[in-house]
Amino acid sequence: MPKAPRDGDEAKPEHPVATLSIQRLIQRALFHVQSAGKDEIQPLDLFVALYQAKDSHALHLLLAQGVERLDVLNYISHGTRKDVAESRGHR
Amino acid sequence: MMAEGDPGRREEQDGGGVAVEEGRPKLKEPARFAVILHNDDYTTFDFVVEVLTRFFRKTMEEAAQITMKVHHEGHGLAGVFTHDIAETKVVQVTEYAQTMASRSRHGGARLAVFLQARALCAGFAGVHDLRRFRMIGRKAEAVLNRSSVTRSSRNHEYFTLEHVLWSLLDEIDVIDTVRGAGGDPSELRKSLEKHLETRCRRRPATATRPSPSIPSPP
Repeated sequence: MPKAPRDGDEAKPEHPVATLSIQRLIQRALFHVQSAGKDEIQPLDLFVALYQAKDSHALHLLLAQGVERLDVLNYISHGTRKDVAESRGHR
Repeated sequence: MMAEGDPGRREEQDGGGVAVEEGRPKLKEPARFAVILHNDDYTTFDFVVEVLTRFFRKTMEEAAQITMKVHHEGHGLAGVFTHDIAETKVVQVTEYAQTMASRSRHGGARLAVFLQARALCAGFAGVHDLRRFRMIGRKAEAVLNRSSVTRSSRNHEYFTLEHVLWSLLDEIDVIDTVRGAGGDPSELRKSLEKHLETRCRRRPATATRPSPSIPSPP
């Protein structure tokens, strides 16, 4: 049946507000933490997990800044800074 | 493959001296996705109208028009969204249809699931479970909580990855990493702020309804 005023409907929180990609983000971070044998998810795990959210604007903005996944992993795992690596390696 | 010999050859052809570097592939704005309703013989007209007004913020007139289109042409456009939100809407609608069908409020009519979806329950239950099993660290949990607060304080309809990135940028580890990976955290924050302010749909206020049109690219 058609509902005339929608204001009444709006009042009750009818649907969840987190999108599915939020769930996937947490799941991915969790998989990573488990497979790496770490105890719990840290903010950086969430950050790295963002790189698998292919169609997202979050990833788009990161890449637009030139922050590639490989650079991130290099820095996290080896402390290699991108600017230093480039000046030493390529030029 | 041809990396070694190539520069020399090119130099000869160019008459020498000109270094040629291949341009990086241009970064494309993430695609937008249309949510399309398909016709079937079970779903009632009224239910489709209800879905369109409830989940896609259409007015009664718009909803009736789209529903007529679905009825006559076999399909109709409910809206265009980012991948994440389009997918979430599909799941929400499907679950709503299933709930309604099981309650059989619609005269016991069998409601076919008219949109494909996985039986995923969207929500934040995941985090509570993780906390129970002590899998999520205090800091990461705080990040997620702050993201959720960011969403509600900006009155956005959904809590998305962009909100998470926003609060991740308050974490010193993340700021260091962005910098270490060649990025500028404050620039990133600025572009993110712009995205959150201009590209995220807000929940309708009680009196006014936001225009259902897609926000145009800046």
